[in-house]
Amino acid sequence: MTIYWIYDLPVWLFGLTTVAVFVALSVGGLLLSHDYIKKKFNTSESMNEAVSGYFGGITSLYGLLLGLVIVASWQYYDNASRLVSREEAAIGALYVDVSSYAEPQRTQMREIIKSYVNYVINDEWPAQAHGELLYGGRKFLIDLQQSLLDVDLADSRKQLIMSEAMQTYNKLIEAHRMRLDAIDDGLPVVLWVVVISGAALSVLISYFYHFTHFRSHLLMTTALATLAGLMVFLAASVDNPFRGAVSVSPEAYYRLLETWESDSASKADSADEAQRSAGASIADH
Amino acid sequence: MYWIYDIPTWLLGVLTVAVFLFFSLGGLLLSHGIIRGRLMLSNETNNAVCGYIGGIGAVLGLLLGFVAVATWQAFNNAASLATREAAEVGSLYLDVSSYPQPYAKNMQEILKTYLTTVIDTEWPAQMRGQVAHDAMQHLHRLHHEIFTFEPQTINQQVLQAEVFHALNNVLSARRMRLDAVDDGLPAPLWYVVLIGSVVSIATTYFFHFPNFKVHVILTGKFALFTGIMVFLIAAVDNPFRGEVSISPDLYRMMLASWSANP
Repeated sequence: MTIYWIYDLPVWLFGLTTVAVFVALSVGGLLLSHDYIKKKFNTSESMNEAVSGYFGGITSLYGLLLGLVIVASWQYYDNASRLVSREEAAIGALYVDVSSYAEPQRTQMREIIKSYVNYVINDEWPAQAHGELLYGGRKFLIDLQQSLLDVDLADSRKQLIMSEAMQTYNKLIEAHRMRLDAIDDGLPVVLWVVVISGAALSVLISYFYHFTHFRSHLLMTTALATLAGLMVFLAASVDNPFRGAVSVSPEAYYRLLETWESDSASKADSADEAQRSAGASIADH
Repeated sequence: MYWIYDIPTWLLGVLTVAVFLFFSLGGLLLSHGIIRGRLMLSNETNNAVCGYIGGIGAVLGLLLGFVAVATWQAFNNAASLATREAAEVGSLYLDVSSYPQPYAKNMQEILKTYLTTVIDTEWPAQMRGQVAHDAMQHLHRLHHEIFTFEPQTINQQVLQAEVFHALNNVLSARRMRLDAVDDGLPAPLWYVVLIGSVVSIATTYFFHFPNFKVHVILTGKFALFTGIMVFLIAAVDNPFRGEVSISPDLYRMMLASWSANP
């Protein structure tokens, strides 16, 4: 399906277009079929009740279907934002873990982590908003792994640090992969076909209503089509968690960079203080 | 639109309902003459209008239900992230208390300061939708403290490993809580909810009643109910804002339990 250009439109335009298309087609269909239906089927007010029965049945089924579709696409969205949050949490923890490594490894690893986060924000995110997968992040992660493993294991404390850092690193790798997997999450085409044809069917059934005044019929059809268009717009914008107006933002990664900046600003004094208190406690001991 | 979280919840509810009532009844009064004169509605057309309202109402009802559930889930998720952070801090506190003195005492003090900063500085900030990093420095200090401790025995080595692990869990839980600060319904969902409500209320204008007063009362009821649903969604949305939000009580309880059994 090459319908993804819809995600490049501004939200309001996309919403307006969807509703406009629905209204135009339904009202157009009503205008065209009105005379024919009236003549052929002799519709009258007394038939409205029966039409209502059918219409009610179809719209309640269609409503359930739409509900399911929206919940399903919402879950993809929710899942994707949780994965992003997990990856961000792992990166944050790893950044603290590597501060136990000696210099120059520490700075070097922190730089790698920072470049990885920058890469995610600047390269991966725009690419995944177009449904593309970039594998460049792996290079940073592999470099990082090499540095993590480069430890003198004779020291028992370093063993501990390494094993803990490796554990966090594995969490990061896992979350990274799962995020990449979620990029092409989306509703299957079949579901979309059913959603659109369900909307068309409900509108078609409503053509069989009879109004003394045709204008009421037109207005009612407009209202129905507006609502159907809105719902389809909603399902489409929630679908594809990394695309369109309702999509997962890279905010979490920006927040990481922001924390590290505020850390390094307050680093000097707090590190000194920690050093002093640590020194004092060793002396006491 | 966040000012709605600064007013008391009951006032928000009353305001939402009042706005819905005002616009739907105003719309009814204004359009009534035109609709009646132009469209020649009668008791017979009611059946058809009823069909449309049924269809539109069913779809809108599902949408409102879904949105209410989605905001509730976001709320629940944020609450469980806060619980998780508190629990991880609690187990870290227990773990560090097994260190020899004065290490144990120092580390426990740092954890207490951490919680106090979260409650006093970070929580008010996140109620305004801001992410504060003030408490992070205490975790850095703690990390440093743990790192400077040199295990003498195998037992202490095992303890050290466990403490590092617990600290990492705290760090992750903290980050995930911060991520939930700006959780909220995306704007397009709000548009659909509001426009959908307007469309369905406007459709009720096409009913015909021999007595106009009945029309006003029934439209009022319909608007009232829609307004209540929208109010519910708005109140639960944004888990850390407003009166219906997650409080730092868990963290306070944690602090209280620590000072009870030092």
